[in-house]
Amino acid sequence: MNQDVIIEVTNLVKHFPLKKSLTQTLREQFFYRGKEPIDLKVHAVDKVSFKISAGETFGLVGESGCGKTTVGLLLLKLIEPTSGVINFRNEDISQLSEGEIKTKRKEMQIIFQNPYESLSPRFSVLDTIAEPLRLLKIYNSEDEVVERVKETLKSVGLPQTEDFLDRYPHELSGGMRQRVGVARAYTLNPSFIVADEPVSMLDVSIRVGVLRIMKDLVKKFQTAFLFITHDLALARYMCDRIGVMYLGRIVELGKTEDVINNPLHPYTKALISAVPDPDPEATRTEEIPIVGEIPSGLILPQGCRFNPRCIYAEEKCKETDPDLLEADPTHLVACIRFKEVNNLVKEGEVE
Amino acid sequence: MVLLEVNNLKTYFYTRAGIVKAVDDVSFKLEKEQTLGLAGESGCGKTTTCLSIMRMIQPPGKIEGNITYKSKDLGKLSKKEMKDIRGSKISMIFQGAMNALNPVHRVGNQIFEVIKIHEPDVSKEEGYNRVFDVLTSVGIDPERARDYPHQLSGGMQQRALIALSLVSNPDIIMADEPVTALDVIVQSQVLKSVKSLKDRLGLSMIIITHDLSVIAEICDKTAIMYAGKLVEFGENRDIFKEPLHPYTAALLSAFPSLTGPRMELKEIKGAPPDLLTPPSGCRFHPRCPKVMDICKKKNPAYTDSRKDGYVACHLY
Repeated sequence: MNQDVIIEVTNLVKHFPLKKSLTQTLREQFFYRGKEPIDLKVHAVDKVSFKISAGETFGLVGESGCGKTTVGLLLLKLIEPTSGVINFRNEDISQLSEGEIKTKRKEMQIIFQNPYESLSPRFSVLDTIAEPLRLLKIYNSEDEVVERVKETLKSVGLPQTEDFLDRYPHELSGGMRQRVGVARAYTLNPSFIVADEPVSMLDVSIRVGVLRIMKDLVKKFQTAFLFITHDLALARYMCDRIGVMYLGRIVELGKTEDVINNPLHPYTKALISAVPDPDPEATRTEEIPIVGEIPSGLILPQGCRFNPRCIYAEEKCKETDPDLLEADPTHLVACIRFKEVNNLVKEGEVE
Repeated sequence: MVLLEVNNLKTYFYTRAGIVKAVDDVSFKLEKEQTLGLAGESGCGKTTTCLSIMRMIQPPGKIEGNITYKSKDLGKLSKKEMKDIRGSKISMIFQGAMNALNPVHRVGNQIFEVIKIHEPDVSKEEGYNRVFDVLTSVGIDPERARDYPHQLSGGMQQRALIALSLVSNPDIIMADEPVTALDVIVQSQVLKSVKSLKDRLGLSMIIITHDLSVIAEICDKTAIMYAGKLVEFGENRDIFKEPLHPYTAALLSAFPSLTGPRMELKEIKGAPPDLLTPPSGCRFHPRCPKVMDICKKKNPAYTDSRKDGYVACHLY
C-alpha cells in the first residue's frame, strides 16, 4: 500500500522452548504447585508489530532481556520466528527458506554492538568491507571493488589511503573500528539496517562521531534503520519514532518526542523518570513509580505483563493482556487504563 | 575537615615497551561527608588513581607523591599498617558486581569474612548480626544472606557489594563504576540507596564513572581526568554549568539529554592518546578546539579558577 514502507512486521512471535529434561527438573524443583504448567517456554518476543519507512530511524528501547535484540535478529531472519509476518518490500519473508533468504540478505545488514569482537582480526580494512562485494560478485574487476570500498570509507569519514586499506583491526581505535563496521554494512547499499547498541562500547568523546555518521547515511541513502538501545537519551537523539519494549511486548509506540515528553504507559513513565539527567540542579521531582523486579520470561504474570509492578494496576489488568491501543493515530499504548492513568496523574498535580 | 589529600600523585608503569604514565601529577582533596566524582573516558587513569590510594598497584607500577589520610602519609606506612587501613578505613567497591562476588560462597559469609579479617576476636553471633544489619541498610532482606550470588538479581548483587564495603564502617568508600552494568530503573534504585546511606552515615565517597549524569545526580565535587592528568576540579554545579577546560566542555556537550530541547551533539575529533607516547605539552592539545602554540610546548599548571576549584589549561 504505502510505497515508502520498507519493512513491516505484524504479530511477530518468538518463543524459545525449554529442553524437556530441564523442564522436568524445573517443574519438580520450582513450579510444581499442585497444577502442572502445560509447556515451558521463554516468551522472548510476543505479538510485536511495527513498520519502518525509507529514511526513517525506528528505535527499540527497553531493559536487558526485554527482547529487543531478538526482534532485530528475527527481522534479519538470523533466527526463525515462531509465528507472525515480516513484510520486507511487500514480500513476506518470514517463511522463506535459508537459500531463498540469502538473495534478500544483500538488502539488509547489521551493525554489531562490539567493534572489538565483530571485526575479524585476520581481515584488513579492505577485505572486511570488500568481502560482501566479492562474495556476491557485484563487480567484475578488483579495481572496481577497491573503488567502491574507498567510496564507502569516504562516506563514514575514514581515510582512503592504501596504507589505511591494509590496516588490521588491532591497528585501529575503537571509533575507527565501529566506523569500519558501519562501512561494512553500507557497502552493498542496503535498504534496511539493524544497529544493535552500536555505540555502547565506545567512549563518550568518540560516540558522537559514529552516531552522526549513521544519522547522515540514513538520510542520504534513505535506509530503513532499526536502532536498538537501552539508552533513552540516545534513542531520542537518533530516532524518529520509538517503541518501548517490556518482557517481549511493545508497550508504547510513537513519535520520539511524544513518547518521551508525554509517556502514556506506566512502564514508560517509570523508565523515563529513572534516567539520570546530566544537570546537578535538576532535582528528581517524583518517585519512580515502579515496584519489584522484572519477572522471568518463563512464567509470565496473568493479564498485562506489567501489572505486578504497576502502581495503577487493578483487577481487570490481571484479566487481559492488552494490545496496542490508539491514544492518537501516531501514538499507541498497550494499557487498558491509559486514559484513567493519565487523567489520574493530572488530578494529582492539581491537588 | 580534609579527610584525604592527594598531592602530585604519579603512578607510572615501567614496562618493557617504555614508561606508561597512567596517572601523572594528580592532586585533589576529599573533605569529610563529601562525595567526589572522578570522571573521564576509559584509560584515563580513574581506577589507577583509586588503586594508588589503596596502595594496590603491583610492579612494574610505581607510586610517587603524597597521599595523606587523616595526617598520615599512606606512602610511608608499613605493609601491616596499610593493611589496617585498607578495607576498614578506606574501602573500595569494585567494578562489575557480577564478577566481584565470589560465586561459591554465600553472600552473608563473604560479608562476615570482612569483619573477621579486621576484627579477629568478633563472635560469630555478633558478626552475623552486623551482617544482617548492613544488608538491611542497603535494602536487602537479611534472609537472603544465605543465598549464593547467582541467586541475587544484578541490582541486589550491587547492593550486596556496597554492604560488603560498608560493614567495617569505613571513613572513605571508593566506588568504581557502581552502576554501569545495571539497567536504568535498577540503576536509579541503587543510586537512591547510595544517596540515602551517604546522608545517614555521613560517608565520604569517591565515585569513579564515565557517566556524567551519575555524577550530576549524587556528587558534590567533580574531578575530570584526561589521559592520566586531572584537567579540572571543582564544585559540581560550577563544572556542569560553566565548564572551563575545553575537554570538560566537549565531554558535556557530547552527552545526549532526555529533557530540554533536542540539541545537536558535538563530537571530539580524534581519539585519546596512547599513554606510552603522550603528546608534548598539554595532552589534550591534538584534539582541542581552542589550541594555541603554547599548548604544544608547555604542560599547563593548575590555575585556581573559582572557589575550591582549579583547571589545567593555558587559557586561564
